[in-house]
Amino acid sequence: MYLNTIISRLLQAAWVIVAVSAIAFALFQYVGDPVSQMLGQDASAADRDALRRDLGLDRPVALQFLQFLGNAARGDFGLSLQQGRPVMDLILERLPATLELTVFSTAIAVLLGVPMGMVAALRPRALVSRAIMLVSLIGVSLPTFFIGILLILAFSVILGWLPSFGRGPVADIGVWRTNFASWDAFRYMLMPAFTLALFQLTLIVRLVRGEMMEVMGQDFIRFARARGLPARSILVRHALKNALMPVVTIIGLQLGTIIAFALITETVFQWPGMGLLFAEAVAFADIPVMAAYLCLIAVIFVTINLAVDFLYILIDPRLRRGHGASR
Amino acid sequence: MKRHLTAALVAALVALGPVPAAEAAEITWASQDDAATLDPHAFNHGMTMTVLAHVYEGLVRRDRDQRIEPALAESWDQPTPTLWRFRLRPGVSFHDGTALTADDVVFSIRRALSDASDMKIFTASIVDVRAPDDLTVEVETEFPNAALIQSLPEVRIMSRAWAEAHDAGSPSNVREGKENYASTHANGTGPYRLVSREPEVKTVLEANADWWDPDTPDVTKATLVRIASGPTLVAALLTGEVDFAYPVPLQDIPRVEATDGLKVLTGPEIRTMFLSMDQASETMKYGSVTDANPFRDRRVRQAVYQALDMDLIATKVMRGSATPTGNLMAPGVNSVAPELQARAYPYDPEAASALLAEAGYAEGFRVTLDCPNDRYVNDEQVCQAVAALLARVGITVDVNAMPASKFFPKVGGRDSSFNFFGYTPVNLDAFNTLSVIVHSPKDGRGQWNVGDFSDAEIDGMINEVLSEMDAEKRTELVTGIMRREAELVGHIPLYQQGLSWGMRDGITTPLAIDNRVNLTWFELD
Repeated sequence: MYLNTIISRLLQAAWVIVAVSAIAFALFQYVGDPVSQMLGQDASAADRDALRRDLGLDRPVALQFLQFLGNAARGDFGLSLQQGRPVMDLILERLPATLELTVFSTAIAVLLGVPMGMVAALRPRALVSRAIMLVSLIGVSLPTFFIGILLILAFSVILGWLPSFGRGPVADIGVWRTNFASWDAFRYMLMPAFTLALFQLTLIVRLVRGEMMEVMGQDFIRFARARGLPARSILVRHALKNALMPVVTIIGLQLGTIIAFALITETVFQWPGMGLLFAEAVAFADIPVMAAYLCLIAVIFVTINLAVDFLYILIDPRLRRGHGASR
Repeated sequence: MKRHLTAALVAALVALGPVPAAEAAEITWASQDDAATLDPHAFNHGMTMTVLAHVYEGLVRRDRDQRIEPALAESWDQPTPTLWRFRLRPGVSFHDGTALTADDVVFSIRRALSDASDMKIFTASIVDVRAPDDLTVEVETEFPNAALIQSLPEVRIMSRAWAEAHDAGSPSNVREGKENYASTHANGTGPYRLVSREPEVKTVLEANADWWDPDTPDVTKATLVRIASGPTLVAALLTGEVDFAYPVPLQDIPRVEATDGLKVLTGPEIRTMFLSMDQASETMKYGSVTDANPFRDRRVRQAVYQALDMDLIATKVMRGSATPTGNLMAPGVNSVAPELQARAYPYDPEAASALLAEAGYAEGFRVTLDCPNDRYVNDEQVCQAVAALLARVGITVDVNAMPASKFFPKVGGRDSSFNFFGYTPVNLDAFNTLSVIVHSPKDGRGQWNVGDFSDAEIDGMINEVLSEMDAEKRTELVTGIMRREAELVGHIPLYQQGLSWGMRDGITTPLAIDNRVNLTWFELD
């Protein structure tokens, strides 16, 4: 019955991805010339022209874009100009590093952020709450790269507790390369994950605090108190459950942003993930890698939004008939 | 009690700290750049050549003072001015165990000559290469080429059998849309064999126990890691996670030197930085003068030269790491006389203003200075300093800074009036710079003479340098060319960029003027 809705959403998603790659291709004109980075300074003009021709970079952008779409539809994203290896291989190689980092940092943000937000909501005047709000203010205002460098200075250079760069002694489990297999490798993830988590953490603290304050003032909480339910049960089963609804939505939507913006954290810590791959590709004007990365990010965003849309359809009966009043 | 607990806790945490620097014979070295490929003929790029030099060798190589010495060739002679005959060292084998023969050398030189090769600058004059027997190679050049032997260290020898077995007969890869086995695997004769490589992350090398040279290197295992971010690179050196790191950013050199157990080797690099002025266009491309091109007037170029205080740039912007120079070629480049390093015209803003007035620009003019911002040490800041110095004589300079991927196509395409550029002669020979930077842009030369400086007399003298086999006469010729070039103010040389290699005290190594780390020269305590 709601097949139509699903199909139209999927079509919309496909258009978004095509539009993103079209805009990306239009912008590639301005990132520079990869040929100048692929040959040494002494290569002759004839050599450069020959390379440009072989790579098809001398053709109009529209044509290059159409060919990219055609190949991408068949799952072929071409070779990286910088590394000479298939772009898909590079992305798949780097994907675990970024996913582990983002998932772990989201876990840090949730596990710390929710209790901190609750404390700040329940005892707004306590010293600890003020401290929490101060930390969240710092997290919101300091740029990520600066936090990363400060952490390296404190925990690597001065204290000598944590390694300053890279993924360390990772373990290979099948095709998946992980930092979770040993403490030795896990240590390498602490600082990058915390750096990435800080912004999310402050967001969650503020959201949970606001929602909790609102929920705690509502009638059903008062009734629950009047019925003499234990304070702990009121807090966790009734108040928090209600306060978390918007938090969960935001965390879900944020996940896409975090994957996309792991770039800065990965650059500071030389974390070999997709963000670092993209940063290098931009400096090199490595068009196939940039195009594939941007498409992948578009797919991630679209998928998350699609999932949210479908969840709404399941939850809200009015949307199922496809003519809901709310749209 | 509580204090003890804290102490114990701290001790426990410290024990969990970073992995201690590797054992004496193993080192981890970090660089802001990584090799782009392992194919020996695909990309003439500093870091790529640095890594390759450990795995692959040429017929000859450079010693610690950059002089040519025998490597895979034991000896050579020249039966005629255009014929070079090399005797190969017997008993040399590749890392996979196959013996090196003259056929491998012929194959490799032909591969370096092929269309997709980026090593043609080194093989340019070669017209034929053949193997009369298993240990003899004959190389024939089109004309007597005095610089051939200077170029041969960079022409690396690979195994024909290995390359053909893995479909790597040509260095082309991306352009044919297929992967090149040789860009991620390596099989040379060099002092180190490749153990593993993750591009842009880590490359592990292990000493080759079967290397022909009896002078075996101290470093038995070396892990190259890439750390692109300057602050992180310095942090990794300070914590001891890496034993060697380069380049140390200028502002961090004192910090590293002040740290116990660490040192920084500094010195002039062979790369010379200079300004180019468009002298070909009738009117300025990017400037305020619309009916003429002031840079065509020698007096204007000299005025720019005299308005610039290279000492100030070297001490302030470059924090003392740069060496001011009056020559486009650094000392250490083959056939370059040291007396050329003094500046041709003194720093004198008043004289500069007078020259501008004489040329009809008493009010000065406005011009755009194109400048990379991610290529050279403090590149954009140097351009800002040039702008500030020229403002004093009335020339208003707009600095147009951009990434290298935009800068090189722009200035290479002659779409610039004024720009900041750096050049290293890749074979450390004067002819390379003369041909690429000083010669008029024609006949495949003057490719990076981006101001289109042109002088027929100089072009003729450059041709003589190419085939002058007498070292003394050749140096005289080069001196004559550079004196005339300075008189005409073809370019404005600024300084030699500085090198900065940070390392722990236990490492001793000569500083290579071409910024190429050579692990076989490392001595470990």
